[in-house]
Amino acid sequence: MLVSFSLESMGNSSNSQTSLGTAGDEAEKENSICRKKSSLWPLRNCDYYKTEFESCNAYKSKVFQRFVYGHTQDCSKWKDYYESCLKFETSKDEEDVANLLEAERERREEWMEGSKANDVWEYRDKPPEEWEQPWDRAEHENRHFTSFFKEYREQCRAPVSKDGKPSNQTKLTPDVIQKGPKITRIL
Amino acid sequence: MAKKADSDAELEELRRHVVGDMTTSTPEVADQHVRSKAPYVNPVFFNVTKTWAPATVMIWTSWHRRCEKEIVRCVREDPLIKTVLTAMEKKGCPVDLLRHVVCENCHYPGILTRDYGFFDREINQIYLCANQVQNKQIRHVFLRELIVAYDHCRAKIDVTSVTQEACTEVRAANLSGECTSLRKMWKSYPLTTLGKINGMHKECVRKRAVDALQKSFSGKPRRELRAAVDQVFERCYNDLDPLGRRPRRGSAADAANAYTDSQFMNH
Repeated sequence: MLVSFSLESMGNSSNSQTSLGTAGDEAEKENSICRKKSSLWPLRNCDYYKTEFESCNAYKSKVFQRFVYGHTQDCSKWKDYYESCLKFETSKDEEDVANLLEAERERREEWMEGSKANDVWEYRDKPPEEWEQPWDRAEHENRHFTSFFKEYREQCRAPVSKDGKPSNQTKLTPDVIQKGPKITRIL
Repeated sequence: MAKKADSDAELEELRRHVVGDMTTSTPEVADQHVRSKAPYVNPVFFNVTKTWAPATVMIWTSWHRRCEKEIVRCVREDPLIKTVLTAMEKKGCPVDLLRHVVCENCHYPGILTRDYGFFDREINQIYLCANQVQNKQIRHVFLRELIVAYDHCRAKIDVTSVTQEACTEVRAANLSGECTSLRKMWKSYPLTTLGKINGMHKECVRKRAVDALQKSFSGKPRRELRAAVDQVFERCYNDLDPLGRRPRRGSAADAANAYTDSQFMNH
């Protein structure tokens, strides 16, 4: 069960849109009326914490941790999170999961801090203009070769633009990436 | 579809077109990666098509098609590449494979050296050398160039400044899993891998960033590039957008968890 974060608790979150929008609205309503001031609504699959614990404890990853950090990491926290996640599934009590929620919040903050602390360059407001400029593939493509990308595009759904007319370019949205077309051989 | 030479004179012209006029230019600006001005035509294939093999043989055995097929497989199946692609889409740069990714045959840069590919900033395209990159390597090269493209998408990178290029190279080496395989470390630091493994990831990233910078800024001495990398290293090493972690090569669970992280954090 995946549900989005409630925006009140996150404070200064730049992303106002959530990919899982409906569940977030419900959680917000519940939070405002029925629940205490809650923080995150936990909802990852608990297996996530289990796999993190297992991959933390594996021999190869211990070597990798030494390689990167110089010391091995303490893996007990992942086990705690896994157990509290399981408890929450049965009891639905927020106190069980308080440590989980704090950890997720901190992780998200760290993630954002890492990119904000990088002041080497100036961040853009808009994407670069040359990204969408067309590029004539037929000019540059060698006549000997056929394009596999063309098959992939022809068999993908072409997204409909704002005008209502189908656009020439298929964009790699998450749906297309996950489903993908069924490609058959032409030769 | 195949271009056949009708006479010997045309053959000679084509050969001259391929072999002759191979002057290398050294511009002062970064991105000295040059697209192959003359297309690289493998002489074996050429002779085969001239004598008896039909065009279908060239297409079946072409590096071009194999390279593109592998990229499509990565886009569909590999979670780290999917995270970067969704992150780029959210920043406003959706990746269209026909427009932004190109597999072409490149001329070999030297004996026992390989040029895998680069990100072209003028055209905004990922350029892969299909005749020099193996299927197993395409995933790593593609991820690396996607990170460079992601940086280009979200920040204004000055092409003439060494420090900003150094930052992208550090991040690309850090996040694309280049420094995670012990075999590679053995190749570059043969004796130190036995004695000292702790904290060598940073050294590996530094070295690879400087090597990559040398290709872009071939005129500058290595000291200068090394100094630029050191100046910029801490900030860029800890910037883990868009993956959120340093992925460990060979663990599918790590990659899958990175994908779920990016979706959950809505990043």
